[in-house]
Amino acid sequence: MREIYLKAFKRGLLYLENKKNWLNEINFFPVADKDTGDNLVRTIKEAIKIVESKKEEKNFFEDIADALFETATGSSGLIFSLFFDGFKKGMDSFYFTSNNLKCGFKMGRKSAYEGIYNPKEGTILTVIKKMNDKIQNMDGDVVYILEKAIEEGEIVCKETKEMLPELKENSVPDAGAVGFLIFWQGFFDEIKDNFYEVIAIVKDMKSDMKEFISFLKDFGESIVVNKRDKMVKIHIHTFLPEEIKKIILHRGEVLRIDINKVFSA
Amino acid sequence: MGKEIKVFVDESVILPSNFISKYDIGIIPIRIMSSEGDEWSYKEREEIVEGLKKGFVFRTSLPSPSMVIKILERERDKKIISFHVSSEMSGIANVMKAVGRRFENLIIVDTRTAGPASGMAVLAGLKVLSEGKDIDTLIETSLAVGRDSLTYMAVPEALRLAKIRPIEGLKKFIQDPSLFIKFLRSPFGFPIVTILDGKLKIYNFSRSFEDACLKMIEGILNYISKRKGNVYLFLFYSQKDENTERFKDMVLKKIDFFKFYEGEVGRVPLCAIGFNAFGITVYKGNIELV
Repeated sequence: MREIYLKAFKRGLLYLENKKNWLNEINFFPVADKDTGDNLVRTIKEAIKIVESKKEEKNFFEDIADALFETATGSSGLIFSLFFDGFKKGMDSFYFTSNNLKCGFKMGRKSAYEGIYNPKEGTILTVIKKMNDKIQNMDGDVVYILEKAIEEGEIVCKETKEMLPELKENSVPDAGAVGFLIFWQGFFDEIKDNFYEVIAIVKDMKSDMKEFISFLKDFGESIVVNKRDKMVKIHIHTFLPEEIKKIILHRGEVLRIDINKVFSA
Repeated sequence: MGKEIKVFVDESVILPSNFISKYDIGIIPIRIMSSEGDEWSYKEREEIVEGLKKGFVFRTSLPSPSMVIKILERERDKKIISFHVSSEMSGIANVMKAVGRRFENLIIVDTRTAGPASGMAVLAGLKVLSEGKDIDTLIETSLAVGRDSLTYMAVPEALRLAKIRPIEGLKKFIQDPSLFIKFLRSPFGFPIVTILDGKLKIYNFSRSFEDACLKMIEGILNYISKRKGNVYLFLFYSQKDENTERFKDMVLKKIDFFKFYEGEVGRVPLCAIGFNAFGITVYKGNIELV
């Protein structure tokens, strides 16, 4: 997963780089210092460099949070860093699940709000809060929930135009809020591209079904296992299709296995 | 016995001359970049002065939490009290709050006001420390002095300042053609800004230097007349010159005070207010300052 997370962070950065100048232009709050795009790009870019140069790898999100703490630039960069300082606490398992996302966002929101004196609504904090609210109230696999959270983020970013006088006057959304959303759009697109559906039909399964399903939960979501006579049909959404394939091959005679991207290009 | 205490301030806080060395105050630096698109760095004052002469606009950027930790690390065995300009005006207090997550013995004082009044808050804090009082008293006292201090500042380059800090009322000058022409055509004009509760507001506009001085003194006298206690005055300027000496003479002649301080602003306020800015902060009350 580490490689996918890293690629997702890089994609988030790429999306931000593409919108950097526009983000600078719409930066009117708290003062029009026109550097939100620069600050977010610098914060994330330098953090990725640090993570890539690490020889000892621990949990990716712990590494990236530590690096962001080191590279945080400007207020938006600082809040981004504070968010991931909390987010990492929810990302304590090997795999990326909806539960991780829920816990990560909940902790990220808490960390960002608690880390700031006089938190202001209509800013990056608001998009964090609203995306988190959406995530906490959704069911489904991690990619589906994240997609819905991003849709919510888009609505909230537009609403920020009306939330602060400085933004209303210039008819722009908050640059930090939009920057945070853009990052997650990039992160999501990368995650989505690596999300697979595995369907397998196995004969003579050697495992206990309950134990098998419980084992699969460490590698994916949307798990459906149907047993009929000696045949078992397995359905799972996963970022790790090859691992799933290996697991299934060890459990019985595989009659058929299909691996397809959940979202086709 | 308690731990030894070390006081830090961020670079936006304006303190009287020599107080940094006299009280061994540590500095939390802020990065600066010019409009010429150079890299963020901790520019020397001379470099900023040269840039200002060329009309560059300087922007500031917060240090990362890790960078601040590296600075504080040298004082790891001490209790650190760090004073900052209002978190409403700058993100530096928030950076310190983030630092506090990974650095024990750090006490942050968000003075809730701007540079020179933050300086007054520090002077109150230093007095409390010298008396060996507790931290809660220090915070309460500093905040009270910061809150009750009033600043008048003549800023010939008010538009430069407005690019960095919102100034209430400045838009009236910019949007009203007659006022704006006056604004632009008056090379010796002195927009006067007040700072109270961390908010900058246009107070008046003076065509001459003397008039600006008199208006500021008048404002100070008005404040003094409404309060009880000792008067503490802090005269600050971008650079010490004949004008600031003239202003000082006028202040000393016209205002009765208990203590008088003066000092040149540091690199960060200099970037914001530009050349030839000067001002005065007053605190009148029963709280003692060092």
